[in-house]
Formats: sequence, structure tokens, C-alpha cells
Amino acid sequence: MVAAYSTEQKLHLLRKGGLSAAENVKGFLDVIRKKNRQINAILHVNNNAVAEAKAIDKKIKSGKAGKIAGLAVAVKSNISVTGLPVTCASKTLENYYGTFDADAIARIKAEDGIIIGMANMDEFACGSSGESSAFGPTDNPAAPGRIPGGTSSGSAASVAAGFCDLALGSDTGGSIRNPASHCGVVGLKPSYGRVSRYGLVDMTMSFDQIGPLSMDTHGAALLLEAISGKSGNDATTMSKDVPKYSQLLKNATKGLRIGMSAEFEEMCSDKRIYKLIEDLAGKFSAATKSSIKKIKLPHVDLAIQAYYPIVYVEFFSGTRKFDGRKYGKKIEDSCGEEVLRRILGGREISRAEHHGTYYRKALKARKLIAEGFEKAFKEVDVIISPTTPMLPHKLGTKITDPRVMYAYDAYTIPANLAGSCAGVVNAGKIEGIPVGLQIMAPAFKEELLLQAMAEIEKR
Amino acid sequence: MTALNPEKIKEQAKAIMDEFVKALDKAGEVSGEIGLEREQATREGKKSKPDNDFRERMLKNAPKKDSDYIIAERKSW
Repeated sequence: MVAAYSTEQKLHLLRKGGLSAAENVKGFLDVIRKKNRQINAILHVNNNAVAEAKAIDKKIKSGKAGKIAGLAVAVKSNISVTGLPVTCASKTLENYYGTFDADAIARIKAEDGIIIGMANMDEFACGSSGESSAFGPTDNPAAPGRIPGGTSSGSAASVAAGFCDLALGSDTGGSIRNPASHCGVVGLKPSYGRVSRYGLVDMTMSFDQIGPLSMDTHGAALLLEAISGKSGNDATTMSKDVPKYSQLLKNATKGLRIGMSAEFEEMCSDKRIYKLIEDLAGKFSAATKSSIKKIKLPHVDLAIQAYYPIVYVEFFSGTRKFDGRKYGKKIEDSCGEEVLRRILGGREISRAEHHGTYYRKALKARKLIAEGFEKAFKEVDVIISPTTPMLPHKLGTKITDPRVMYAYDAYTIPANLAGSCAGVVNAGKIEGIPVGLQIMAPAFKEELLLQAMAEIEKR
Repeated sequence: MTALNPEKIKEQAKAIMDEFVKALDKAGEVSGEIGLEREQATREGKKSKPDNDFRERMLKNAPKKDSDYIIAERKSW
């Protein structure tokens, strides 16, 4: 799907009166009406979106509008929006409506973005395919009949299908980057602590981050700029300044030290993917007079094994509130298989008799992997890799072993373990299916990450 | 939709965790703290503006209620 306008062009049109916010939103609602039944990316449309857009048009005319004024944003259904269903794509919360705006949503509204609807996802952000929603799987608009990836399946598919200008997703082990890669769009996981998690339904609280998806890096940069920053509501946010990411994209990216890991190459099941990434990294390096260096990332082959025990324990903890009293239903009685697996597994391994062995071992391995990245980032500025080790499978493929699904996360998990930032841009296609190139940068170096993404996007 | 078998799912989850944690044995030891770095451990004590509609929105989500009270059966969960 090729967007009619780039984000920059769309903003220019909105500011100069060539397109009104109301026309923009009506256009998207029309496309959603025509195509969402097939794609199933949007679970709930904001029926007030046009009225909100008209109010923003008045602000645009008066010259007092925010930095994303008039742009339509789809929101993953685990991020609280007042008055809209925050179902987490689960029967547990199918009748739950947001009682407050998440910090990220309040900031989007403050910058005059318009929430167009709530996007489909893997149930409670447990998965990596977009198939485990209680309200049906999402189709991949860029590769029909294939999974869009997950868990921000609807967010990525909404961007790819032309349902919105921008989308919000959440990323715990790749849940923004994986679907961005499969759907051929841009996605970014901010550094841990860059964006407030207030109003995000936890999957794994020590990994989760809310982040942007867009057709282009400029859109992702703008949305990240809007939602980033310290919040009194989330003690894990850092008080580091928020750069004007969208304006810094214009700065030239030259002379970078680009790292590529031998361990990552070995982990790629589909060698065609690695070749595509390697070729593009080479072109990027040549165009920017950068250099590519082979780096070592010790223990990165244990990323999946370090990640999932932490996920199971923290997810079990985070879901204790879903007991069906104040809202929703009791989660164990109303959820799908992977959600139940993580709850029961997490409960089991956090029992007193195990003395914290599982969780502590995983935390130690996490620290070792994070230290490996810290050391690598002293030798290189960014690290390039594939986003997933294999192409997205066909929708409905029977996969009974959860470890097969977990394997999709091999390249994306390390950035969550290390707390660093990572983004995905489209690298091309194999068998007509989009393949994303992942770039990782040190924590709180999103400006460097975005500059590199914008440069690669040009190739 | 096929009914889930919680006992079987629990056994599978435990087996996966045992396999993963065994693999971590080769990772070796670390020194120092293994927690998350953060600037502060508590939320700031700033008062937010009162939201007069919050109560109504909260009560709308309640499975069982009686005027301003949410009703829950003791120990039912």
C-alpha cells in the first residue's frame, strides 16, 4: 500500500488549508468502512472523530494548533482512551471502556492528533502473529493471507492499509517492530523510560514501551516527539530532555560505525533475509561514508530463554487485577491459550518453593546480555540486523509448540533486555512479502536511530 | 472454540520454563545489582485535577453495582 502523501506533505496540506482535518478523518473512515471487514485491523471506530477533527480545524485556522494537528492516529487496544473500549482484544475486557486517558493519549490530544479508533492486537499482548485476538485475526494488507505479526497487529495493519496517518503500539519483545517488518511500515521501540507507561495495560512491566508506527520515519519521529518525556504518573520515566526528533532528521548521517553480529547471522533461519539486510546495510554504509564492523554479542543466543521467565512472572503479577470484581471477567475463565499459559506458568515458577530461582537466573542472564550491548555500543554507533529470522507464515497455519512462535522474537528481544531503542524500516521483499531491517541504538539516542532510519529509507 | 485444558497447559508451561532456565546455566555469573535503573522509586506527589465524571465511568464498567457501590461476592475469586 503506497500512501498518497508522506507525513510531511500531509501536515503541510493540513496547515495550509489544502485538506481539512475533518476531510482527512472522513477519508480514513471511508477506507475503514470498505476494507476493515477483510483486514480486521480496527476493533472500534471513534464515532466522535469527525466532530473532534472539526474542532481542530478551528485551531489550525487560528494558527494555534499542535505539532500533529489533524493527523489520524489508531491506538492499540491495550492503551487507555477515555470512553473507548480498552479490550486488550480479550473476552476478559470486552465490555470495558477506558476511564482515563493514558499519558501518551493525553499528549497526542494536546498536540491535536485525532484518535480514529482502537486497533486489534494479540490478546493481552501475548503472541507475535496477530492471530490470538478474541475478535478474530488481522490480515496483512501488504501480504494478504499472511500474518501481520504481533502483538501490535492492528496498529501496523492500519498504517499499511491506509486506515490512519499514524498508529500507537506497545513493544515488550518486538511487538511494534515485528508487525512493522511484516507489514512493510516503520515502527520504533523507544528506550525504556522514554515514554510513560501510565495507562498501558502491563504485559511485562520491566520491558513494555509504547511507541509509534507510521508509513515513514518522519511520522514516527513526530509521534515519538509528541508522546515522550517524564511523567509524574510513571516513576520509571527518565527526566532526559525530549529532542525535536522530526527536525533533527534533516541532519546528515555520516561516518557511522555500524555493527553487525556474527551471532545474529547464525540465528537467521531464512538466509535470504540476512542477505537482503546485509546488502542494504552495505548500500547505507557506502552512501553515508560509514563503516561496517563485525561485533560480538555474547549470550545473545540466550535472549529468548532470558526473556520468557521474566515475562511469565511479571505477566502473572500484572494480571491479578483481572478478577472480575471492579470490571471485566476473571481472566483465567475468559482468556485464550497463550494468556493462560503465561499466567499458569508464571504462577508456578514464582511459587515460594522455588525461592525465585527462575526469575533470578533470567534477570542475571538479562544483565549479561545488556552488558554485552553496552560494550558493543562503545565500538559501534548502531547495530543492524534482520527483524525476524523467518518470513511471516500463512494465516491459520497450525502451530502447536509455543516455542516456534517465541522464535520470531530472537532479534527483537535483545533491545528490550538491554533497555535500548530500536526501529524498523522496510528493506524490500522476498516472495512479495515485506522484510524489515532493524537498527538498534544506545538508550536515549533516538535522534541517532531516527536519522539512520531516515537515511536507510531513501535507499 | 476448543475448551482449554489448564492442567496440560500448566505442564507445558513448566516444561518450557525448565528447558529455558537450564539453558541459562551456561550464561555464567554477574556482579552487582540485577534490578532496573531508575531515577526514583515513587511517583511524584503532585495532585491531579479532580475528574468529576470518573466515578460514573468507573461504575459503568462494574459487573454488579448498587447505586454508588460495586458489589462482589466475598471470596468468589
